[in-house]
Amino acid sequence: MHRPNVDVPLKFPGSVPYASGWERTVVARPVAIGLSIVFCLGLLSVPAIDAWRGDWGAPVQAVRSGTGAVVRALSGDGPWWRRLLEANRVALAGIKKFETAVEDSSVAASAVRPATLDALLRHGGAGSEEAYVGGDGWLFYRRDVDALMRPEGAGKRAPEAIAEFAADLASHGVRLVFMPVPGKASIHPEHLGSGRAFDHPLMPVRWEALREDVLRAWKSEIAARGLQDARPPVVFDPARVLWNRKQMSRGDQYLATDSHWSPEAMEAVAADLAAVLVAEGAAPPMAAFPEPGSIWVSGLGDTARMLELPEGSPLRREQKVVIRPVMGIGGKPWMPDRWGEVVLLGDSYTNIYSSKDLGWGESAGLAEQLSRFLGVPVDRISRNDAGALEARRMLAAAAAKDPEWLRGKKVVVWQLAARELVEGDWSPVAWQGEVAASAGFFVAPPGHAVEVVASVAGVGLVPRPGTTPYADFLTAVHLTDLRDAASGKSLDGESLVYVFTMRGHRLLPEAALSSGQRVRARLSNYGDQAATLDSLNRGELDDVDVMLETPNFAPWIEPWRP
Amino acid sequence: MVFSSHIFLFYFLPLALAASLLVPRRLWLGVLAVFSYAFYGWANPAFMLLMMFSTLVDYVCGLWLAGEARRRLSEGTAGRTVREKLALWISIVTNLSLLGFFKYFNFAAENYKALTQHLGWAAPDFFLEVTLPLGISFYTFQSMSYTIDIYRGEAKAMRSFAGFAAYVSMFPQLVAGPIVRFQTVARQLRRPDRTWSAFARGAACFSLGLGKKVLLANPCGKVADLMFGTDSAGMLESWIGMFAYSFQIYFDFSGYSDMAIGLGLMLGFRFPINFNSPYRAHSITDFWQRWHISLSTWLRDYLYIPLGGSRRGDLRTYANLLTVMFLGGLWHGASWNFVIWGSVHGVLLAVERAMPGRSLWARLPRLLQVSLTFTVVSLAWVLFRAPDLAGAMDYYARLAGLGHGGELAALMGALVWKPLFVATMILAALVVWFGPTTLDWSRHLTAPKAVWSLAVFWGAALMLSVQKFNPFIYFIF
Repeated sequence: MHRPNVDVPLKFPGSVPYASGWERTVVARPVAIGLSIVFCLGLLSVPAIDAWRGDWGAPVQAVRSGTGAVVRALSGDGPWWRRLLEANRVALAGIKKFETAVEDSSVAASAVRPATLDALLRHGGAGSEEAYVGGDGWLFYRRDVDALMRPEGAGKRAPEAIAEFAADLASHGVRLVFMPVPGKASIHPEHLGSGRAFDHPLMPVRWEALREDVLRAWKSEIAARGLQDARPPVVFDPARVLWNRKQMSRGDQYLATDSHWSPEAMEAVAADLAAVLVAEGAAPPMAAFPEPGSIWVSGLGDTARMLELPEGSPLRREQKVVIRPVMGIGGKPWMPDRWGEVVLLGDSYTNIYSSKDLGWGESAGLAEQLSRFLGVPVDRISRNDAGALEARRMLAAAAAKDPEWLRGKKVVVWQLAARELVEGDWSPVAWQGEVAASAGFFVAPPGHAVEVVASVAGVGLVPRPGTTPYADFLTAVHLTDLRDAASGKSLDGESLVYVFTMRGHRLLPEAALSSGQRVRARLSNYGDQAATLDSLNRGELDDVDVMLETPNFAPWIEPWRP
Repeated sequence: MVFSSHIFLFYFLPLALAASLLVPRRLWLGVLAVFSYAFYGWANPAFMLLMMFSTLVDYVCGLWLAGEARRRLSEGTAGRTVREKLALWISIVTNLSLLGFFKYFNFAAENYKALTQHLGWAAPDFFLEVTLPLGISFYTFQSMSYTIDIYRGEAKAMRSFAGFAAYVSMFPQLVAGPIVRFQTVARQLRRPDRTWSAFARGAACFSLGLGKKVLLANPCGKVADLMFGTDSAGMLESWIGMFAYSFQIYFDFSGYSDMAIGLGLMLGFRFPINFNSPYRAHSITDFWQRWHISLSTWLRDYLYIPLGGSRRGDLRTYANLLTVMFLGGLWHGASWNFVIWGSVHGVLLAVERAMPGRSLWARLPRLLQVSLTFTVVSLAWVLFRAPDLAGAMDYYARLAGLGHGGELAALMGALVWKPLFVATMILAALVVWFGPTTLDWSRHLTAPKAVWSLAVFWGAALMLSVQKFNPFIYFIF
């Protein structure tokens, strides 16, 4: 550098009038040198800490897989311009993945993030990108609150989609009961800091008209399909039950740092739902069911866990609740019954207190309580999140795989978070006829695991940690050119595989998988672990045909090195 | 790549600064161009090809123009030759065609479709959905000004292609300005101005710019997002949302400019200032002399003056003002909102120009003039922020108390009246009306100011650790 300047005129070339202001910088030499050096050291400190203490596995893996994907795209088939476009697309995906991996694996950033967020939430009160904080330390899942503010026009297609789904079911002799569960802010706006007293639950736009809109759409749907004798869908409103309980001073209906309802509130809704099903003739009359026992469980709410607040933060407080696990025949824990006439199609409101992955005990969820109040077995299909589209897809896929299964049903209760009404994906879902497993798709035999080498043909969504309240995430992977890893013998061509890409809010190496990559994987029969895997939310493949295939589960998939 | 991102601050920037210090001077511009292309390609590698094409065309046209001018002067010919005019037009048409296609194709197609539907004709089915390349509005204007200035004899052509590529793609100001004219940095391209004082001032400007963006613009943006993302807000909250957006767009854009200027200083360049406390303007005319100065000056020099400026009578002057602001609005974005926004400013500029010196406005106290100007400018920002024209009209209705917020307005209020938001809005107002500009503040750099700028940098870095994505508003232009 030149000799440091003190009161040095900075000449500006030309005489551009708006450049005035650069005429001189007055700075003492030690200040100039000190600021420059400290600034540069500051910039270097973060990569230095990350290099010293950080885990570079994910960024390195992202670079490797990204580079490989670009090379494969360039050397693939097709005209040069198409290959170039494909290479650009995968390069862009690789860049994003690398940048996210660098940010997420930064030790320096991870070290300061919890305390910064805690200070912002507690003292700023403004919430984070994922959550709002209430005046009394309650945490609200941001999507639930934002859904209440969505303008007119959001979720416009919901009534049509609900009516179409009801008509699809009606054509199989099954009746739909639609049940949108309100978010925490709908029932407890007072915890969010709203000074105003409300005399009814706050629901998303057009909620008031939903029942009429669904019936109107239903009428035109059945007229078009010639199903005039079919009974219309029922819209069941749990918000009314929850609000009444709150008004009767039955305490909080939701957990303080979790986005879901309390066990008592959920039970009350299950009881009311059962009564409605019986009254509507949609389910057999109630029969006595043994009174369940009570268990204390304590846990940290999903919103608090998602935010990764520091230990000791007042917002990270555990809560103790009483759950009532339902026992099945012979005193064994309740299980969904494949032959039950009532199906509960749900999301995390169904899974909480039932799936231990959500951290609030098991065997005491909505399906269990509904079964208890109805006194009959209940079948269950549930998956956290994305209740608008995924639920319909799951049911359509189950019906396509085994039409016999649907023929035995009378009622489908479709539970979903009310926010889906305005932010959900209400695209039509095609009901395909009976689908036999394709000859070219490999399915691991039950009770056995097979190690294979294969090429990745497609990868579903991988979440970013801290953006979803659920700790674990499965991603669908489409594998092709399957070979037995030991013998090298070709297996049945392709395979649909689910693999964990996130556990405990941490990404796994599998999150870096990319199309075209050659991998080694251990495949086991999905059905062996369906009970634990089914409820987890997941990133599906865009290829709907592949998604209809029988899946495998892979405990791990790793890059293959010959 | 975004300045306010982990990867830029802690990986890209240290590498670029190290390269600027370690690379021999003769290789520096080539290395700067490589860094700039990497920075640009981070958003989409394919965009690099487009920028390279634009650069190549202007580089060739520049050399051609310079050669023709030399020949003309040696032959003693008066007036520009046909070949000079051809070279200029090739450059202008190429740049405007790129801009027109990539920025306005979708807009034109949508409007054509709507028109045909309105007329009851069969709606055409366009098969193209054009992606807007980042910063194209900025670098095409910048690149075009190079050939125009050579044609006018105000700049010399650059022989080094690497140097010219470095000028067009220079990463500090590539994506959102300031629009740097060639003659502004011509000397520094050949010989960067690197001194301790410039580096220190650059670090201070960069830190303050980062602070403006992350500590002020982003929280204000959250308030604005809440209010513009619903139709449930009450009248008071809607006004707060509008002013929050005014603060957001100012701190976001001027923060970016400060960071660009700071980066330029650290790398040895002096970019023009872009903002001069615009919300202290006492009229719309004054506002446009303080807001996005590099654009308004560009429009003045390359559009308003060639159209005749104010030299051809009052009516022509008003028409010129309207034309320039209409096109200025369209430059910002391909939607009717931007067109109307620009036109509104054009009308206001014309009205102010038509007002006599001793009009009612001129007799108002300065405080009232500034307040009213800020309010009018903020009202116009609604067009900028609303998703479409209908959304803007709805928002205006809410500002007038004609909304249907109802009971959810109370919930909105609960989300807005939070300590962080209230404190940020107050701080933003203090900085807007009472604080010095970054340039003035950093002119006399003392030890406490150095400490303060480092504190702002690290405060912003801490906030960044809890934010997922930080796009600048002007990136979409």
